[in-house]
Amino acid sequence: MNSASKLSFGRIALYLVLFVFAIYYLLPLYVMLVNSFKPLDEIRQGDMLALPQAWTIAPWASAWSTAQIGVQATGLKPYFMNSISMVVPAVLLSTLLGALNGYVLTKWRFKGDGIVFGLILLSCFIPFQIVLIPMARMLGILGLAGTTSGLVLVHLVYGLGFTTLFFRNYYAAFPTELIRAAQMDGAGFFRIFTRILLPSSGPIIVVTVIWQFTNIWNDFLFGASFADVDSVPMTVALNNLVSSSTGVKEYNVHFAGAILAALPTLIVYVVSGRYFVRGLMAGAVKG
Amino acid sequence: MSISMNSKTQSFLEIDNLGKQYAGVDALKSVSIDVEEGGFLVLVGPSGCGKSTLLNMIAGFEPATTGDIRIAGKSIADLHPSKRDIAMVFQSYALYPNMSVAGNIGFGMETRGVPKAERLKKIDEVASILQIEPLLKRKPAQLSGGQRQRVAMGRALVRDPQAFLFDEPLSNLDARLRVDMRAEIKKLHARLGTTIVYVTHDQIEAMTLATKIAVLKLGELQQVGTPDEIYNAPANTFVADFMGSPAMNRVTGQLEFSQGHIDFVVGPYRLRLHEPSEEHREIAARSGTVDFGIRAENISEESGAENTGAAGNALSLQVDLVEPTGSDTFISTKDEHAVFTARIANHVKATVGEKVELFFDMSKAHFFDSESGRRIP
Repeated sequence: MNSASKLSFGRIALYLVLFVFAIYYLLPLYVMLVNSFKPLDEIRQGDMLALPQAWTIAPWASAWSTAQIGVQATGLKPYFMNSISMVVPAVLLSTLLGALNGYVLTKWRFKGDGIVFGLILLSCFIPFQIVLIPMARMLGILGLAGTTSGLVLVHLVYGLGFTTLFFRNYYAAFPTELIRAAQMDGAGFFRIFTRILLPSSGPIIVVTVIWQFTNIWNDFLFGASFADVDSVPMTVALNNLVSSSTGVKEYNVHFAGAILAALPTLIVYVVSGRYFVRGLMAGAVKG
Repeated sequence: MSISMNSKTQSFLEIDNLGKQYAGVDALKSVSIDVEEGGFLVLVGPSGCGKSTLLNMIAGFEPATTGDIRIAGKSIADLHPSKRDIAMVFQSYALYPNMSVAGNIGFGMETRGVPKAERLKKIDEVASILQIEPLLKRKPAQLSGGQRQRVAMGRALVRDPQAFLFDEPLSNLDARLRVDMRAEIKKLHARLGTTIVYVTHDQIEAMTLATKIAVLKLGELQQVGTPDEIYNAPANTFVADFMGSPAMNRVTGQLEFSQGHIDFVVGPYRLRLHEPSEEHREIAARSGTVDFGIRAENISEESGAENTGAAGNALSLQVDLVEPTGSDTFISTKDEHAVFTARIANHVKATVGEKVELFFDMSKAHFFDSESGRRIP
C-alpha cells in the first residue's frame, strides 16, 4: 500500500510535468493554426490565443496560389513543386548510394576501407558555409548553376556522409555468412545487394529517408545560395512571402504558408515515425 | 572421370600442402589431407586450431597462401566459390531472412537461370528427402532450430554438388536434437554417397560420422586416420587427450625390466606391458621416463577373460569420486602417485575413501614420449 501511494504521487508529478511541456511545445502550433483561419482584422484586435469568430480559409488559398512572393503573385504552389522535385531525387539517390557504400564498406572490405569511411564521415562535420563558394564554382563548371539538378547534386553530396554512416553501422551487424551463402549460390555483387541486403534493410531505410527528407526539405542556405527563379525551394519562398515589403503584413497568410511548408515533414514523421524509433533502437542495440 | 584410376581408393578431394598466413602468423601450416570419393572427412580440434580456416579455404572464401586444393584431379584453388561445385551448410544456417523456405532452397538455381518448373520440381524432391514439405511457404524466422538446420541442408542438397562442406552444423541445437540430426546426416551421407568435409569441435560427432578424422591444433595437423586409428592409436598426447570422454588417463613413470618382462612403474605401482615393442625395450634398458595412457573403459573391476593369467595388471587404489551415469559408473581414484578414472558396471557398489581392486587391460595401454608427446609404438 505504501509503495502504491508513493507510485501514484510520482505518477501525478510526472504527468503534470509532461502536460506542462506538451502545452509549451504545442502553443506556437496552436497560435499558427488559429490565426491562419482568421481574417486579418480579427488578428489586429490583438488576442492571438482566441479562436476565430469568423472562420475563413482565404488565408490558406492565398498562401497557396495568389500571395505576392518576391515580385510575382503566384503563391507558394510553384515553389512547393520545386521543393518536391528537388527532395525526391535527392533523398532516393543519397539513400541508395549510402546503402551501396555501407554494403561495400562492410561486406567487400578492401585495403584502406577504414580511411575511406573516415573521409566520408568527415564530410558530416564540415559546416555548410565553408563550401558555399567552391560549390558555386563547381556548379558553374558543371553547368548546373541555378537548376534543380544542381541542388539535388549538392544535397546528394552533403547527405552521403550521414547515409553511409547509417547503412555501414546497420550492415556491420548483418551476418557475413549470409553473403557467403549467396556467393556460393552464384549471386554476384548487385544481386546480393538487391535480393539479400536491401529486403532486410527496412528499418534503416526508413531512418535514412526521414533524416534526409527533413534535412533537405528544411534547408534554406543552399536554396538561397544556389537556386534561380525557377528552382527556388519552399523554405526560401516562405522567407520571401513573409518579408515582402509591399502593403500590409498579412499574418494570417504567413501562418498558413508556414504550416504548408512544414506539412510534408510532419506527414513523413507521422506515417513512419514508429519505424524511425524502431530503426534507431535496432541500431543502438546491435551496433 | 577421364583421369586414370590406378586404385579403388584414388583420392577425390586433395588438400595439398595448404598453408595460410594472416599478417605473418601461420593460421594453417602446410596441411595435406586426401579424401576418397564418397568419404566423410571430419576436421576436429579446439577453437583456434584452424579447422574453420581450412574449410573456408576449401569453400573459396579465403585464399591460400601456399599449396593447392584439387577435386577429381582438377585444381579449384583459384576458382570463385560459386564455380567450385561445392555446397556449404553454415554454422548459423545463413538462411535468407526475406525469402520463404522454397525461395531459400531455390535461390541458387534462380541465379543460374534454371527454369521455374524445373526449380519447383527439384525443391519438392529435396523437401521430401528432408521431410520439410509443409514448411516450404514459411519464412526462416517461423522455423525451429532443427527445421532451419534441415532447410540449410536442403539448400546444399539441391545443388547436387561434388562435395558438401559442413561448418559446425549442430552446434546451435540442443543436446537431444543434435543426436537426432547427427544420425540423419549419417543416413543422408550413406544415401547420397557424396564426399563431405565436416568441421566440429565435438569429438563424439567426429567419431560417429567420419570415415576419416583430421585432428588439428594451432594450425598444425596432428593426425589423420580412421576413427579407429585416431581412438586406438593416437599419434601423440594431444590427440589422445582430445578424443574420448572421459579423457584418457595419463601418468608419467618409468619403464623397467623385471623378471624378463617390462613393467611400467610409478611410485609403488607396477603394471606389466602386454606385448612390448623394440622401442619399449630400449627405453626400459635405460629405465627411461614415459607417459602411460589408458582409457577409462580399459580399467574395470573385473579381471576379464583376456587378462586372466597375465600377472601385474591389478592395482589396489583409493576411491576419490563416484559418478553413476545410469548405464555405467565412473570411479576416480587419487593418491600422490596417480589419478585414474575407471568405468565399471553400474551394479558394482563403490564407496568414496575405500580401496578397490582395479584391473588394467594392458593390451590397450598407450605409451608416449614424456617430452615430445609422440606415441611410442
